[in-house]
Amino acid sequence: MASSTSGSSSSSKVVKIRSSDNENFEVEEAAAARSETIKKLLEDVGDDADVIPLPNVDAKTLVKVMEWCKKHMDDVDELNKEEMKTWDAEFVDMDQSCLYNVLLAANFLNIKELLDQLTQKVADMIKGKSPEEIRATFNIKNDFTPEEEAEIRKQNAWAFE
Amino acid sequence: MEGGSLELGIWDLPDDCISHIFSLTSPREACRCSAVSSAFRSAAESDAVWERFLPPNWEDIISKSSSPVEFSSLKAVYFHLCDYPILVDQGKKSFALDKESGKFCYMLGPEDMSIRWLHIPCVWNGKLPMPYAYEYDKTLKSRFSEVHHVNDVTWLQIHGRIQMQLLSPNTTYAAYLVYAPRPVGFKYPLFKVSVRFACNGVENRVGEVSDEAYLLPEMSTPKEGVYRGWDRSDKWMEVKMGEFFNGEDDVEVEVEMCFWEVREFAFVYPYGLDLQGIEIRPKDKRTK
Repeated sequence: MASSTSGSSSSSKVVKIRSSDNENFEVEEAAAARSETIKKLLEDVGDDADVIPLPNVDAKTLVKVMEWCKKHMDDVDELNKEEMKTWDAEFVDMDQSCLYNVLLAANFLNIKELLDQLTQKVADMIKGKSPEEIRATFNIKNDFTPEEEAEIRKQNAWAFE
Repeated sequence: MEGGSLELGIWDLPDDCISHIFSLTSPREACRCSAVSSAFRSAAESDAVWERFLPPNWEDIISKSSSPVEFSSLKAVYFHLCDYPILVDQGKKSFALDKESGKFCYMLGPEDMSIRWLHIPCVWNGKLPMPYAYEYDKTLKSRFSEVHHVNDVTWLQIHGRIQMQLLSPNTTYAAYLVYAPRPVGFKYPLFKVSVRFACNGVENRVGEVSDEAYLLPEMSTPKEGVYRGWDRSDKWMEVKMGEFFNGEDDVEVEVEMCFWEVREFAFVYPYGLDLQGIEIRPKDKRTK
């Protein structure tokens, strides 16, 4: 894979990773090491590593995650902070199924910053919505009886003021 | 190959992810989530969510309470700390959480304020000619040991101070005088209110803004921008004294809140009122 944004002097060593559906990827080590899980594996196996298997992440999701890792490979200076914010906002703007796949991958790969951005995205989808709107957004079935729902609304009356 | 990923919904996320997501909303939104579905409810009411809305030292706070706090969940602890203020500082102050934000609220009780006035005992001794001077609402309950009655006074002055470090950082606070007017007969004059910072005894008047305040909402005034008292949900009334921003490192700084009568007229009416204290709470973005 071509390196695009890297302006650092660190050697652009490449590591190989394999998705759950057996696709191989070559990624710059600095990008892959944004994942604490991969970083730990690399430290454990040292230079003997051939391909690092990631049994929980499919290829489509892995492409997304590595796109984020490459963008976040270098420390961001003040000047690029705004640009990065815009990029991040566009990155998390994906369909829900994709969002949860990437979120689970970020959780498994232990990429804290990405995980924070994704959980914040889901939280923002909840904010300012009524229970009906939340059900519609997340495709959730209301399994309360009308009496149960009325009782819950009564218990939490303050939140519905 | 398009669609190589599994089709997932929010319920495919692990529990700790879901509770983390809910904790990024707000107490109000977490409560609304309880009405969505039974699965949403059990996540939105979990201790993992409410632990993040509570201050990190909530156990210390609870342990200072004079009456034991019993709770079935951390959500219950949260609302207890919002609805039932805890007396602190030998009962001179009360502490509570702001329901909306979980930030700290304090009320300075009468013992923690300086209350001065000019008595006119030779004329207004509380008996005649205005016996209703002492007619206060006997059912009025204060969170402090007793209601503070101020009778037959003029030129009332009230000051209270609080250390900024007791309050939540990076928050705009507003201060309110909490009082009850006498039921009948009194005319209240125009008061001035202000909030200012004080550091090591040196008062910083630069940031001082004084405003005018009327204790009763219906008092007519030609002036614009005058604070007026309004009813609280607890039988008391309150009037705004001003607002201030609490930054992050104003450790040595105190904020002083003042309330005093404007000496406009030569002719003075004596008046009385009942005091609970001065409440300092995060400014409500939704209302005043």
